[in-house]
Amino acid sequence: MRLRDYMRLGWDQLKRRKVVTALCAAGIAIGTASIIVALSFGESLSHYSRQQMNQWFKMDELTVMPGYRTSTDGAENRENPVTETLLEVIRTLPGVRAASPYVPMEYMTFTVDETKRGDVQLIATEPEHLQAFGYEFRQGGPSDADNTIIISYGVTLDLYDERMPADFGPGRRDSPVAYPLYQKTIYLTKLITPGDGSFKTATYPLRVVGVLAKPDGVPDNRLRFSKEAYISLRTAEKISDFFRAAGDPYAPGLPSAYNQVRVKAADVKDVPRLENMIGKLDLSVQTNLYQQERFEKEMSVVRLIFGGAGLFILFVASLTIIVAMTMATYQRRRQIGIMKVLGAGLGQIRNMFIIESALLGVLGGLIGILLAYWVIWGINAVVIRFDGADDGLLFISWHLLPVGMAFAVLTGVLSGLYPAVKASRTDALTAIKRE
Amino acid sequence: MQKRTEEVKPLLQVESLTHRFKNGNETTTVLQDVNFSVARSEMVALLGSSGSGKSTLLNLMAGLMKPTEGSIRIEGQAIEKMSENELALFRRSRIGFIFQSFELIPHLTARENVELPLVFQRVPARERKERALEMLAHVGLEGKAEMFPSDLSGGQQQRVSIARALVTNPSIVFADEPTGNLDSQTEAEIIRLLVGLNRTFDTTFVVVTHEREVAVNMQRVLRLRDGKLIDGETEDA
Repeated sequence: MRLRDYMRLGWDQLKRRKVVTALCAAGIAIGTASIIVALSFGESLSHYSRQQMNQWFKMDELTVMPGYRTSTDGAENRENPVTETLLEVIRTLPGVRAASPYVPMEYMTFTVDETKRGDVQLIATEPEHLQAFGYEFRQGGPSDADNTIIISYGVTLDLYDERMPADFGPGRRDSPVAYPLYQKTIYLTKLITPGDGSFKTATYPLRVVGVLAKPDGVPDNRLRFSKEAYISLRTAEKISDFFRAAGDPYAPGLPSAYNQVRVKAADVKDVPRLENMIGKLDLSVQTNLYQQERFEKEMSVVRLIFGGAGLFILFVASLTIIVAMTMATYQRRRQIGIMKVLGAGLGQIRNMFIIESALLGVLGGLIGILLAYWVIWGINAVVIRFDGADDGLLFISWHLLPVGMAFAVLTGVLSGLYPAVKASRTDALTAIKRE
Repeated sequence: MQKRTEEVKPLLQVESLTHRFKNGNETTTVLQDVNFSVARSEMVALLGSSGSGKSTLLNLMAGLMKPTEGSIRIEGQAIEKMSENELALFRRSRIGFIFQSFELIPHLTARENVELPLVFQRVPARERKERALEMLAHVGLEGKAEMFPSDLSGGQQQRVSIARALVTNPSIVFADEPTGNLDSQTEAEIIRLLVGLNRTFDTTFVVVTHEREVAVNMQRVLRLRDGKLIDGETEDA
């Protein structure tokens, strides 16, 4: 018999026994959908969590700090600073998307519009590389001009206003409101105490040329503590010089070598290799990959649980097929007998039943895929409705569809094996005898 | 019309055939030392009353049962020695079978039913269709090819069954009470059809019947009584 004939005869049988076919297909469909949904759950959660981790732990970033170099005779360990030369070497390494100095400076107060007061954590870096590090601008962008600053969204929150009544907000701070700071001049303010008992206030003006976009999915009340603001290395030097000239003995100058350099990898997968290569430059490197390893372990457990549940449902579904197909062999004993008398071999009868149950698997698999999409769509709709998210959390990857289909067909074929062998062993004479 | 079996090489040769059934501790001999042969193109009736052993003999000849003793040779091949798969292959190419109750597959059309043995032979679909339609025309069912068995009369269903038995061009066709479920007028038509097909295709027929009216139309009649061939061995019709 040709495959086409097997399929046609099998399909005829499935069409004839609509109720049994529908029940078996429903069983496989539910099992297949469970597996696809389970794997999608695992994958979606993994994807979402990885996004979140990347956002908070910057998984694709490396922090490079001065290391130690052993002298050629091995006698002493000398500090090996991150120099401009080494930074250039790091930038040329394959898999490096960007590398910039990252020098946290002081936590300072600023005033704006004469009445508002806020805080910034100044970070000296190369603002033109901020976008390469994944920052998006809500307003404006980097500028070549000196005395400019790019602030994170959190800086615009929680400004203190002395005109407000004492019971307004938390300590006269209009925390929930983002104050418009773009293109305004803010004044870094510092109380100078030269050490002779006197004190004075010094202010340094900076123009806000950019406001960073707020990270996705993070509420404002958490962002109000995020006060990072980015200035160029030259501006940082000017600020230090200014406050030192104003009499601040604590105003630090910028070191000629960098205490900290951030390296953005093109992909998270590049991080271990870069860690190794930068380590060979006798520099100290830190990554957050251990977080990912811990997370992957947790996710593998989640996937195992969901996948196991799906497999269990498929197992139950396969029992229904075995029962249905075994019943079918009894119902069709006479027909099998006639076919044997007409010359059908053992293998042909066996294959007819296996192909029939495989078709049942294909049918169940296709319905299962549709069902899985409905379930995922439904869950996303509920999440969007109650969580207010823009997009659904769950998704079905294309590569899961053949996996689900393979499980469905395999379930069909394996469930059909016993009935098929039983059918092929039907004694033709007994089968065609009439009572 | 007469044909003498000794003049041509026998197509079917039954030698010392004995078959017993065990029923608990009791053994019943259904056939005892049956010997006969059938020549190519011959049309033979196996006549006997109920319980005479004729159906058992037919099932043994068709390879559906294994004899207790003796041998059955079709075209020189001892079918009692064949495995189940060998028998399936042999039946597929050499044997046609006509049932008393037609035994058509209800969800297949007349043409598809006739095509079925060709499906097992892996004949390509187009050739199958051509051969099935041609055979249906031979049995007088032009225009009924796409009808389902339930839409056909008993006589028409038996014609489909006959077409199905002959479509593979078998060496021998076994017919088990082919007119048993038909009225007398249809019975006569079916017998005429079988006789005509025997002449057209030179196919050997062994027809099991309990009706003398059917048997007399055959070239030779083998009478069975209590598991033995009677009246010497055979009787010419």
